[in-house]
Formats: sequence, structure tokens, C-alpha cells
Amino acid sequence: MKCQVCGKYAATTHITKVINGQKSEVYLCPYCANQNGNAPVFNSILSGDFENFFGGLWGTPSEIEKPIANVCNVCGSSLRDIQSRGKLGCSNCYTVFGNYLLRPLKEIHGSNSHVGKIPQKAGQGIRIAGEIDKLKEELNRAVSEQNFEQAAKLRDKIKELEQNRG
Amino acid sequence: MWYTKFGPSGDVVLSSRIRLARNLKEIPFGTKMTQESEAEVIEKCRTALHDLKYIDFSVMTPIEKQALSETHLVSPEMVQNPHKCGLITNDDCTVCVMLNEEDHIRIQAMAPGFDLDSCLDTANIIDDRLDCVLDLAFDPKFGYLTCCPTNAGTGMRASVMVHLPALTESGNMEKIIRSLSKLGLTVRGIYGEGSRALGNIYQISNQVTLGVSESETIEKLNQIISDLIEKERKLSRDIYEQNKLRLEDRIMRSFGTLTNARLLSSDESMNLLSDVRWGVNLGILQNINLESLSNVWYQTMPANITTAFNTQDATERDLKRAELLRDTLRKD
Ligand SMILES: [Zn+2]
Ligand SMILES: [Zn+2]
Repeated sequence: MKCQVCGKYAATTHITKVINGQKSEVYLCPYCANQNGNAPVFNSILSGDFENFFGGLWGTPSEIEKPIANVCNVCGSSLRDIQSRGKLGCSNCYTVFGNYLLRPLKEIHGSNSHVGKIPQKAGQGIRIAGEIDKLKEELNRAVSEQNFEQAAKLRDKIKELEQNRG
Repeated sequence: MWYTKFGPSGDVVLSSRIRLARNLKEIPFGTKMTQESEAEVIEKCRTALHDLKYIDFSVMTPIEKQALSETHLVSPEMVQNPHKCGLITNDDCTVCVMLNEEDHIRIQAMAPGFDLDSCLDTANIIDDRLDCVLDLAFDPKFGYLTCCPTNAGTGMRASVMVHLPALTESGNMEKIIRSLSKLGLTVRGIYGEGSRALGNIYQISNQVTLGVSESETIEKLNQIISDLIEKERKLSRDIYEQNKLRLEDRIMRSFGTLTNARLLSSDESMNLLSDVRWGVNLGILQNINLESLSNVWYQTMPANITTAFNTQDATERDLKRAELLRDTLRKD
């Protein structure tokens, strides 16, 4: 049976969804199951996909996986170079081919977003952005609780941080 | 050297290591590097870590490189590296930064025994110092950017080297390797090929670098390794209790060979030393110090013998190896 979400790969798991009291079963391939928030699939580690990162499976990029350009404008690596070597040519390659990396990274790590250390220097802007996001959440909460004094304070803080970020 | 010292849980864990992969933002990776950019990486890191010792790895002879790899100060990949590459180390070599290996910078911090936490602290200090003065390649989504995308994220590989004679003897290792890989860990024999690790020594490390933080990774590894240490200890006692005479006989025979043989290959001596180590842990052999066992273990590796004693061929090495082992074990 093919995956009911992407229709591309063989379904390996199924989940039961309850929508408006209606129970329905959905059959999923490992990729779509991951996107549905199911437990990460570590099987690929067993089958040695770490060595074979760009194995046949990742051959042709789908629409959302398309690189933003065919060739990296900094180091000149093409998608094919990267597939055959399994290595990227420079840090800009992550920008150019990033979309294409997301699925295999999620497949082998169970996630494709960094949650660890952030460097001081390169990370300054990132940290401020994270802080702003947090304050915005607090602001929404304050507004919904009709705590307007608090909301005004938060709005000022956000404005200040946004100016700092430049 | 630190790697011969006896650390926490040193009866099972020989050493711990943290490796952080880092790259410079403006310089291309690996095969896209020019000679100028290779030199630039080295120059920038040397300047950033000016108080540490710099070693030009490129000018070392193949056998000297191999000797450093045998003691795990550099990776086997580094030995084969045709590019201009270097090392930055501290005095006792508990820090060894590889420059221009697969990534521009691979910080390594190492400690005897089971002590990943202190390794991470040390690696972070070096990392922060580099971060102060260099532009490290980093992306909010992908984390630290690495040449091979499978290392992106934390860029961290945490590993421990463990001696597991009882689990190996009981035929449990394949099962353990399988269940550890389901937890996202890799187990491999350090010496020799195939499933049976020479000297019953394995390296266990994390594979996952995205979606988990450095401290979470280490916490998980610490739990799993602690569990494994207990399993090995318990099984070791059980095997001894159930086969007292047989095990004593085997260990004393291994000791006898090591203290009497005239020629010993490295494969043979590693397996015999594993038995002796086990015997010391069980109290079968007394008055032998685990640190001197570790010392002679590294001292008798092929490239280490060759560089220290200028031996000319395998037979000369085997002769010298037997002599070193005899001297160490008889003296104790
Ligand atoms: Zn699907
Ligand atoms: Zn590039």
C-alpha cells in the first residue's frame, strides 16, 4: 500500500485520527509519519544511511525540495557534485541546497532543526530574534487576559530589541 | 600521557572524548579549498589559540602520523589527509584540535575513564575562544555547518572507549550493538576488522547531532554507558563464579604467554592483554597495575614501536614487543 499523504512511498505505519468525532485511519510512509510528529525513525542508522546520505532515495528533488539554484554561487558546487560526494562545498551550500537536505536530515536524526549551542558572535542576532518571539507570545497572552499595562511594557521592550537588531 | 591514566570507572571505560566540528564562514570546505585557504585556516586558528602548541602535521612521516593515530590523538582520516593540515595541543594532549581534517576545525577534548562532562567543558572553552575571534559557520536551522551534512547541528561526537571482555565472551555484543543503534548510538571495534573487536575494546558514540542539545546527548549517553558498565561488571562476576577454574586457567595462560614469549604480534598481544586486564579486575592476577597495562598497550602498537625503537621489519617489532611486555609484567 502506498502512503496516503504523499502517494510516493510504501506505507509502513498507520495513525488513527479523530476529526469531529469521526475516526479515520491514515496509512503513512516513514517521511510523512515523521512530519506527523510520530516517533523518529532510527532504522536508517542501522541500515548505514549515515554513510550513504544521498542514496538513491534522494535522487530527484520533489517540488518543495528544489534547491534555490542549480549551482552554489560561492563555491560552484552543483546538486550532482553534492550527491556524488555526500559533502557540501561551503557554508553557502546550506542556503542554496537547504531545502533538499531537510528530508534526509530528518530521516536520519529524527529532526532537522538545531536546538544546541549557539555561538556568541554569529548567534547574537539569532538570540535576539528568539527573545522577541518569546516576548510576542507573552504580549498575546497579556492582551487576551486584558492585562493592558503589562502589554504596553512588553510592546516597548519588543520595539527596543527590534531596534537593537537593526 | 593522559590515555594511560586510570579514570572514573576505569575498570571498564578506558577513555572519553568530545569532538566538535567547526568551520569558518568565509572559507570553502574540503575539496573546494585552495592551498591559500588551507593556510588561512591554520593561521587564524594558531593566532586564536596562540598559547597552545602548534604541530605541523603535514611534515611528519607516515609512521609518525600513524603513531599518533594509534593513541587516538588524531583520526585515521587525518593520517591519510593529503592537504596541508596541523594540530593544536596543550601540554598533556588532553586537547588536540585537528585543522583541515574533513572540517576546518575539529576540537577534541579527552580524559581518562568515564568523564564526558569534563571533556565537554574543556571543548567548550576552546570553542568559545575560537568563537570570540573567528566567524564560525552557523545557521539557526542547521546549527554549526559541517562539510558532511550528517554532522550538522551540534557538530558533536561524544564517545567512550570501553573494554568489554565478559559481554564479548558471552556472545552478547551483537545484541547490544543492535539495541544501542536503535537508541541512536554507534558501536565499533577500535582495532581489527569484522564483528570481533581485537582486545575486546569498543568505541561507543552518538550519531544524532540535530534536534538534541549537547547536554541532552551526553546525559543520554551517560545513562546508557552506566548501564552497560554495570552489565559488564555483573556478567564478569557471574562468568567467574560459574567457571572459576576454566577462567583462571585461561587468564594465567595468557599471562604466561605474555611473560615468556619471544615473538608477539600486535593482534595476539592485544587479545592476551585483554585477558590480563580482565584477570586484574577479577582479582585473579595481583600486583599488576592497570595503568602500566594501558601504557604497554599503546607502547607496543606497531607504529609506536617503530618510531620509538627504529625497528626495521615485522619480526624485529614482534621481538621488541615481547621484550617490552615481559619487562612490564614481570616487574609488577
Ligand atoms: Zn508519504
Ligand atoms: Zn557552496
